[in-house]
Amino acid sequence: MLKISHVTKKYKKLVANDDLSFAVEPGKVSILLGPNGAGKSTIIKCIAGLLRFEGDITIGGFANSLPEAKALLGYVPEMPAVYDLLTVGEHLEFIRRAYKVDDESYTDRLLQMFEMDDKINKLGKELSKGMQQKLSILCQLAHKPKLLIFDEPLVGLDPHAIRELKLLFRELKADGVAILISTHMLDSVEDYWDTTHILINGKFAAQRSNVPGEKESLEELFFAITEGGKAEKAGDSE
Amino acid sequence: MSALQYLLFTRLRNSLREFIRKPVRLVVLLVCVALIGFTIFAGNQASLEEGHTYRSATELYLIIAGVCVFMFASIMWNGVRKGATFFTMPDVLLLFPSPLNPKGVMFYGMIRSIGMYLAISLFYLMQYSTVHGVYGKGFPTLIVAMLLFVASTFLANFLSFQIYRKKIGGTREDYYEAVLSATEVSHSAVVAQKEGRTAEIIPQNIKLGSTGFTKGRGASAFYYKHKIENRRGRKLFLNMWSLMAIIGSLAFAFVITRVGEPPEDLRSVLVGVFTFATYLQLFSVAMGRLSFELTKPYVYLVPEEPFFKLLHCLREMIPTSVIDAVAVGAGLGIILGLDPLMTLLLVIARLSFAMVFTAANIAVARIWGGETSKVIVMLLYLAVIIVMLIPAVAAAIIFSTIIKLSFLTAGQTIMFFLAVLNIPVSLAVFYLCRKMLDHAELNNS
Repeated sequence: MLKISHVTKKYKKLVANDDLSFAVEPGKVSILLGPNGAGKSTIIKCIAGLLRFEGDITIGGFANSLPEAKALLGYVPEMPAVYDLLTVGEHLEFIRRAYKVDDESYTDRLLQMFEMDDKINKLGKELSKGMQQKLSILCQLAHKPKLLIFDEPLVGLDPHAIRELKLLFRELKADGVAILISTHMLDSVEDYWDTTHILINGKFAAQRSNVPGEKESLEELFFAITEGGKAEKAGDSE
Repeated sequence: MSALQYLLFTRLRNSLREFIRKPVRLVVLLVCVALIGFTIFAGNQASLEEGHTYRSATELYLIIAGVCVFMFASIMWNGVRKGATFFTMPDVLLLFPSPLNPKGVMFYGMIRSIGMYLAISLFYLMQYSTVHGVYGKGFPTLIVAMLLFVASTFLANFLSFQIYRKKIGGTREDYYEAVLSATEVSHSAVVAQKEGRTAEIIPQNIKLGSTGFTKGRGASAFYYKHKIENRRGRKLFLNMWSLMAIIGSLAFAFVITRVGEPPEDLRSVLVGVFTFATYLQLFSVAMGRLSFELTKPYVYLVPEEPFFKLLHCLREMIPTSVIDAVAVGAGLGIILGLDPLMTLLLVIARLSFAMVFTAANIAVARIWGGETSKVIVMLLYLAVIIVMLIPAVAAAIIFSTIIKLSFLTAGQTIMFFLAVLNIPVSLAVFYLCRKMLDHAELNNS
């Protein structure tokens, strides 16, 4: 579903992403890990078409700048993307209209899941940071994308929303949606990750698949690679 | 050296170093110096011409006073309602809880504030050409104007803060709360600017009105969304800058023709008055809601052709541009006693310049989308306008020598051809930027 080939992103002299290549298959959850400033948000923004880059990124076989690719993509940014002067309900109507989705039942269900159905007439500017993050997530789920990208999705969410989002990840995965998540909350994705890519200084320090029965947790793996606490285990590293 | 002195000088030194570290800023600085040099030269040359006559200095003093009154009133208006501050957020968080003398902290804030307004007032120097060439005045007048600007802005900040403070209470805690609250407002604007966002001024009490979309599918959903946002943001047709530009243009025309020594034929000042109106229009035309859209991901993510998305985002500006053009055209027509045909030509010319300025804004966003400094963006915008106008001005001068229009003077003929030629030039720029939304550089992290 998502294929990244030799992507490099430079900010003047700083190389934020250095020749990155990886893929996310349908029904798989891929995790981007790395310390602050490693280049995780940059590669995500390149995929979402928000930054210019060198290399190739395709979504469902289409170049990421094409409308066909954009129709398949949902991108939840780190900072909530909410319009101050639109109500919660209008945000979802706007997305349905922009993506030409006629069915309202799915967005109604999402509103209930995230306990936002009683806030339908609240303006974006009246919502708390956590509520704005929930709305930002709902906006990107509303058109049922085939590839979902989350940049630190759990920051600012309340425990109920975190639980619902985790359940939703499983549901989407079962429905064949490809999911790419960048997060520092390693335990939040421990149960359902399929592949992980650890970025350090814009390069992949390691890429692993989740092997059933493997005892090493994502956290142990992360520290082994980023801090050299342990020797790398045999696997499908680069 | 005390902590506050250290902070003041280090911040000043570091901000000066930024000019050397960032070549674009250095280039901008050099361009500004060159512009000031050019304007001084041009101003002196103009006054050397034989039979050169100066306009009444009263006009100039009125303009200087007008700017001061406007700055004072707008800062007071905002400051009294939302609070004014001399401090940045790090100042409040680091200096206020520290054991430093509160009077010293206040003094530090005031010095920084004066320094900032003094830096802004340097733009007065660029007006030397007009001040010397048109009014026969020199640097002493400009320096007085700069000092008056600094005094009026500083005083407005100081007074509005005192009024705001009294409004919410008089204890030390109230004082801190007032500073914190006002600083938060200005901090969010500063953060927005650093992130490349344009902080929208939203009414405090929003009337929700009817909810939901009336129409919109695909790219047009942006246009109908903008209609809802404009209604709630109370931006019906003209924003504050457009309104000020219209009033300023008409007031200028009125002063030129009615105060001092009015010209015998009112129409003889048409080119000058229209040029001034276009100069004000340059700052009032922006990208409307598109500038906010560019800072959010949706306009890039929605799966539609980028050019359609761009056009639908600009659609809300059409009524604004038409109303602006009719108001200025008709207003000038009445003040200058123009016939209906000339008035219509003025309306078209005004619209054509709105197209040029919008296209220039789009071109800057397309080419330098990652640039977040407002000053640099403004200078790039001016540079693009100059580049766009060069072919049209050259062609207009050539056409005006070939084709003579009996009902227009030489200057008006050039203006007429320029207005006509602006349209294809603007359309060409729109076309070249049609894939702008596919080449985003939304670096706001």
